[in-house]
Amino acid sequence: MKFKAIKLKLKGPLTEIPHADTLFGAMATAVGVLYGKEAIDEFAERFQRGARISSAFPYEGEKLFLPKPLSAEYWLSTLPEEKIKGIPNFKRLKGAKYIPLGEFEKALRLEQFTYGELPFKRVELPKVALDRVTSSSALYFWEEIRFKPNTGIYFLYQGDGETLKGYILPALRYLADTGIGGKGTWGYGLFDIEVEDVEISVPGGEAFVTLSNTLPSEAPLLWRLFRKGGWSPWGRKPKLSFIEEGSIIGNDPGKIETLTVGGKGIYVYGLSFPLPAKLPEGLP
Amino acid sequence: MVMDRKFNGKLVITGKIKAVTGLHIGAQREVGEIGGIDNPVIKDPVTGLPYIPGSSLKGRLRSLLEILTNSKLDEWKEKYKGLEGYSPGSCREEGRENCGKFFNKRINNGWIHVCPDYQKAYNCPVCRLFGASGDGSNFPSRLIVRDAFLTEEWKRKWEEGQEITEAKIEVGIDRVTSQANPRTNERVVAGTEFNFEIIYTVEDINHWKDDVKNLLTAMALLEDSYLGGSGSRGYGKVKFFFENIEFRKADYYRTGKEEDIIRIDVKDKSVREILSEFDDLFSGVKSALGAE
Repeated sequence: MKFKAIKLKLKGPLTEIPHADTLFGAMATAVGVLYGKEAIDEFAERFQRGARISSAFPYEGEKLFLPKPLSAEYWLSTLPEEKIKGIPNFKRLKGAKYIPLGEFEKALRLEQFTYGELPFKRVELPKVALDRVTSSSALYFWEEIRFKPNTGIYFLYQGDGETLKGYILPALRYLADTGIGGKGTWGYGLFDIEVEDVEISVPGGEAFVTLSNTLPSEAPLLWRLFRKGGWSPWGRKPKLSFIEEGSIIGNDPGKIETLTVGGKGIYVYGLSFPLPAKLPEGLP
Repeated sequence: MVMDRKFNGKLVITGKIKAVTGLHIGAQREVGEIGGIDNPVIKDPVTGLPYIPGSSLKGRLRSLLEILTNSKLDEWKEKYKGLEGYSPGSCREEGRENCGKFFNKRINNGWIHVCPDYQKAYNCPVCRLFGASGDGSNFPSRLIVRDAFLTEEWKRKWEEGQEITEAKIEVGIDRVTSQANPRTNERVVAGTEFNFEIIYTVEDINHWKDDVKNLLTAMALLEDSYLGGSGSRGYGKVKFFFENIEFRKADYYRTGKEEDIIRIDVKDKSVREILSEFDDLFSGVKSALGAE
């Protein structure tokens, strides 16, 4: 399957690697700033009609990382003892959140795969506020993600070129100089943009792994749930239950939820980004 | 006045910031080593290279502009309506936030200036530039100050094995017995250069000129003050070297076209020169924006 990989070459740290709903929300806000509020509805409409984005994942140079499919995680847990012994660093493989693209393709087919060193570190930093008169200090701590040079995050896009050129790229140009995610004012989440073609080889199958955090419209097959709220320009968003990237679903497009926050309507992106995956034995 | 946000483009200011004297922006020590440094400088955990956090630079610029505003309070009340309710000084004595003094917000045991809501922040020279997180309503910052990483030249020097931080031993001496009490401070060596980038978002076309002048004034004040710790002992004198100031019109973000960028050649100009030639240098931006 062919996709566009939209790389955000980071110029500084991030507070969090953004999920698809964060990317969508940031882009929708940017579209509103650049083209007016009506354009946001048109932007959301294009996704309802078939355009899709994945969540963001790390990359290093040419190496793209993807979330480990839960099907593969389940498969690992069913392996017999003697086979597990043959796998180096089995524990780390089980705990890995992201795996490189080539390994991801193997994992989709339930073949032996490995993990890779991730190009970022999560760190806690001291920060200080100083009294303007006496210079007494107030120390506090701050957690953030710092990336190696020549690395960053990317997301996959599937859909028509018009949405990409007319909405996504202008929105990203704006976000590149504004920052995505938290603490933009300290320069977090600034980036340069690069668009590449990427091909992912997938097996045939009835089940799918989703690469976005999804609001399922039917029961998923294998999933991990998380609750996520956040902020909109008009106030705090209520928390919604998403299934994580890497969850296994049937033929479920997911949905875009509309909420009312501070008297204004907002869109919460929860469409799936499905790739066919082989199901391990023992699952329906 | 109604609450509203507009977007009229962004001014991107880039250049180098040079540590003229040793620079110490502290980090906490991870593990105590015997004979190790007591006070390390902050380094990128991935590359191990020292850098200037955007938060440090932004915070320092803000504090200097706050102190200037506090000193000019009476004079500036005409121009900035948000200052009307404040009298000079700190609420520390009263121990209560927003007591009417300018330094009105408590952060643990420190007091700084932050306007309590959107309306006040909109009319305050400090808060409308640097942002305010009030109790009722926030005013988002118009300024982005990026982490300043080592320039390519200094990165190369580091790769070639040149030391870019030094362990400076300082000593406290007992005034009677002359007993020495040494400590080691790590600092980035004098001469080190970092790339800086500051982005200002033009929201209100009647504010941009004033905001950018205030930003440049804070940068000029910083050159005559210090960045990081131990400034009164000579650490942290910095100088800005500008490379380019460009105005990216709102159209640029829609089209991505180069012609929607106005470049202001400020190479080799000091902060003070840019301030004094401001109207000439920014005439293109002014006409692109229409109003003042």
